[in-house]
Amino acid sequence: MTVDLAALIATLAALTMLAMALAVRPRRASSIDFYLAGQRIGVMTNALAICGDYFSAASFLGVAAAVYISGLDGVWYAAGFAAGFVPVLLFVAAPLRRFGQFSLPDFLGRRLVSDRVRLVAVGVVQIIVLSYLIPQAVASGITWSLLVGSGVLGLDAYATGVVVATTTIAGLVAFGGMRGTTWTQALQFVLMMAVLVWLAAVVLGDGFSYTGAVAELSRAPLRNPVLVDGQWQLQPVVSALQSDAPARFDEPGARYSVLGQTMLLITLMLGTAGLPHVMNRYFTSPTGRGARRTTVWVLCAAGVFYMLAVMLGTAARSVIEQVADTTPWLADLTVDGVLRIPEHAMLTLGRLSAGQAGLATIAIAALVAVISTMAGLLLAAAASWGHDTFAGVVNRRATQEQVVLAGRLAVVGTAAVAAVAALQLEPASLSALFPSAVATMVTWAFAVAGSALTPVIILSIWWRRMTAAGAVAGLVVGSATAITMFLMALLRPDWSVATLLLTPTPVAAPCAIVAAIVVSLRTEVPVDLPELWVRLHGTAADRAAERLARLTIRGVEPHQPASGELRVEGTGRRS
Amino acid sequence: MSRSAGLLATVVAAAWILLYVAMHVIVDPPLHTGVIIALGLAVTTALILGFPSTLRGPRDPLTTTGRGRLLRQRAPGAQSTSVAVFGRDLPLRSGLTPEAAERTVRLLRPVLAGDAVAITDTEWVLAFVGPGSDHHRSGHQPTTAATRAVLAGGRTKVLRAREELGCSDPTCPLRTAVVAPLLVADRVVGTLKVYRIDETPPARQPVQDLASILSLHLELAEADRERQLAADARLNALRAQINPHFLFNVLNTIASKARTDPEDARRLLLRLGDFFRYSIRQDGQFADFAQEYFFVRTYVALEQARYGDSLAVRFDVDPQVLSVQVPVLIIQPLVENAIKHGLSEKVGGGTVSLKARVDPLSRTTLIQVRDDGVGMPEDLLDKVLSGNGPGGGIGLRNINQRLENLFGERYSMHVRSGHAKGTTVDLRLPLR
Repeated sequence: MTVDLAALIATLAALTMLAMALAVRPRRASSIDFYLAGQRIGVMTNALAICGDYFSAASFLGVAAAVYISGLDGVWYAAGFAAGFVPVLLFVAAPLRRFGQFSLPDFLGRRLVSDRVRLVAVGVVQIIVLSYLIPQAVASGITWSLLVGSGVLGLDAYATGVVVATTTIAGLVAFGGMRGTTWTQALQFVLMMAVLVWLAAVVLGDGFSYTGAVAELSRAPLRNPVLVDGQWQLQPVVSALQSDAPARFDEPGARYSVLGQTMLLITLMLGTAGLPHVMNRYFTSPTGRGARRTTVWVLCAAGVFYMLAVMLGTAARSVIEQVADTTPWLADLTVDGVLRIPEHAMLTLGRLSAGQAGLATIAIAALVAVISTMAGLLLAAAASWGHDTFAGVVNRRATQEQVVLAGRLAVVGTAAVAAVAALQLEPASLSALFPSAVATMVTWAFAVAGSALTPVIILSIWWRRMTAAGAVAGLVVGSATAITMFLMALLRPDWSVATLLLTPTPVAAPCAIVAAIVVSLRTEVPVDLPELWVRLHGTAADRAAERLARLTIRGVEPHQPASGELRVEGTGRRS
Repeated sequence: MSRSAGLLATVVAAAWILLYVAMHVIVDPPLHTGVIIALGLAVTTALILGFPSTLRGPRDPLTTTGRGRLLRQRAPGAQSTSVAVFGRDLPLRSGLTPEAAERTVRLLRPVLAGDAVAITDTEWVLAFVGPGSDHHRSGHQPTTAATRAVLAGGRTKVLRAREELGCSDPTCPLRTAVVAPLLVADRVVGTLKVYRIDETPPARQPVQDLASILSLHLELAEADRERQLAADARLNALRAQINPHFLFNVLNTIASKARTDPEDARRLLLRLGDFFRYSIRQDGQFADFAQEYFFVRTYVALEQARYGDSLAVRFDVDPQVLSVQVPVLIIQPLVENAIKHGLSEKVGGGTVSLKARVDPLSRTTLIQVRDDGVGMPEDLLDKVLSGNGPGGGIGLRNINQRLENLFGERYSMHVRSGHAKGTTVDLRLPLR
């Protein structure tokens, strides 16, 4: 098979999947009933939709890449991404849903009765959205350059991928029909998961053994490709724990010191609760309890997903090393059996396992991951621009059309900025600083979210004395601290603490909390606090919603065969 | 797109260009791209968060939220500003309440050439600001006899001496005053009082003018309240107006089933109970979509018991819609219309479908009720939309009017129909 054929297959499959994702609607429309009743299938649907928003290219390509390049230290990404839902489950999910708004800025604005909080939150959301979008664009560039290998219109392959992906998704989001419905997102996640399971099955079927591979890879010190004087060569990685010892695949230290590891995990764990596109979907659950149950399912799905990703990252390292000498097309990508760009791990593994079709399948799954996440992000950005900023502040008398136009422009603008940034950040230039460019860049979004939004959200939910001014202070201090630490790391990558500065949450979040508490104690709480509090934590509304759902379901219970006339509702569902 | 948004875009674009030129072209060696992008994002965020006020053009300080502070810096008696005070958010626009009165007098005191300003209603002092507030307190009865005279007579009075004020407290610093009535439809509802601590009374004309402007606002508030009452009354009438034919039909169905299938009859009676409970229990104009959906389902179950196999209903509802607030009693009448006018006359029956989505981009809820029934020719559709259609029930025009009251220009309702082509109603409602 030639590369062109692979591209053809991939394009066809991608188009089919896109059409499916956009057009497929549940034929059994009554699934809404299961949903309403809070039964397992409904909660599952929402959980899968949240996963669709959450699992981005960083999860699909990035985690495997991080494991590929730094072994055990890459697993911390998987652990941190998955563990992020634990604080959500414990502290955020149920009250957030009970309060019932449309987005995180809305929630903060209403809870603290202040438009200013909403606006500042919108600003923070924008930063998060952008820093989350950039790695997605980078990942689509990487995927394109490996899948198609050539660019159009004078652009190189990477740039073509970035431009094509961002324009397509921005176009779909801005001008497409129904956007980001629950079922579309759920379906996209199911596709991603299916591909991952398929690849794992193929790899295991070829006789791969995880424990065996880890033992094999750990026998020699870890050596990774480095560009020295224009020449790629493998160099041993020095352990961050003991400066004189080499790092090994199955031991910590290939990338992070004890402190660095802790900071990374905390950053990732706290970040999830502040991700706008993920948390927006929590408002969809039928009840507060439903939101909590949804989170449990998300945790399960995330666990499986990341376990597979870690396994496949290891598999890639082992398999590619074995076949590098006998497979000519690997020569361009590898240095002595190790990939130059770790994000290629999954894609290469796919091609090794099932030829061009395998490569195409993985590439499509990666693009689906990019599409679902980018769509969610762009929508979060557009909604906050069109609704919160434009209609809320700039032009209070805006008509619906103007709001939509503002939202569309925001989509296009945000996507353009992300694309330009991604073009500047070609991953090969970054691998010196980060284990996996895509996974690391996503942690930036997590860092801002966890430093600014999460503390303020948790305080707003659980602390009665929280005030609007306190929230503003928390948001500003948190994001400013995070971004400052971040810029310092970028400006001085040679500092010994540069890696630590890239995961600023453990420092920035306490700063935000202190600022929020100090300012809150000096200002007055909203007058109708008791009412707001009952909305957040009262379960009566939950019970009412559940009772109503049960009543609705009772109407469509299957009736006894004797009552012929009432069977009609079955017809309704069959059609 | 408004001019200000375009300006915002220009300013942001200019900032980026400036940043690029400064950091990438002029500086040698050029800064790292990531740093430039980060700086640019910071600048953009700052611009967007901080600039809306600037972009709106120079704001009149009197209409900002900090108006109290700004006003106090002006010399008392600066009459020229008095008109500017009456922006659209003058407190009394929401009625004569103590809070609104308090805010109003704080707003007015620097504008009027008085030392103390008070507002009363017909019985109590609602707000008092200035010297003498230790014994002229809000929540008490007005101490001056002149107030009672103005309340009774409805004419402005100028009090030129301490005795005329009739304050019982001998230490009261107030000497002269102007008392002007606040009128709603020629009825005195309160007074505006301006005091001075020296012997020259405040000028009569400005006080009277302000009182009449305040009266105008109070009248507007009254009109608002009446409009609200009328809307609520219409909704209550709508709740009470369950189509009697529907009730007869359901009762007949139940009666016929009572013998053949008592269990089913019992279930239908329970559904009927649910239906009525919901239709009378609610108050307020909005409810969760989930509740309205339940109501529609109950209604459909009752209709299906009657129509049997000839009525099929499809529900296609995205879970995101469930928690959205929608106006009550909008969706059920649409479904009822579809069944009653669209399908009941069609041989062999048909399908009604209800579809609901949320569009996160425009923040609208999209609700579509469609039937494949007999439809209506164009002239009939026009008649129905203008409220001249045949038959009673809750017409499309009624629904349209209620939506207009609730959302103004921000909703849309499209009806498509044709002879034997079925009818489709598309609603697009803004999220609240």
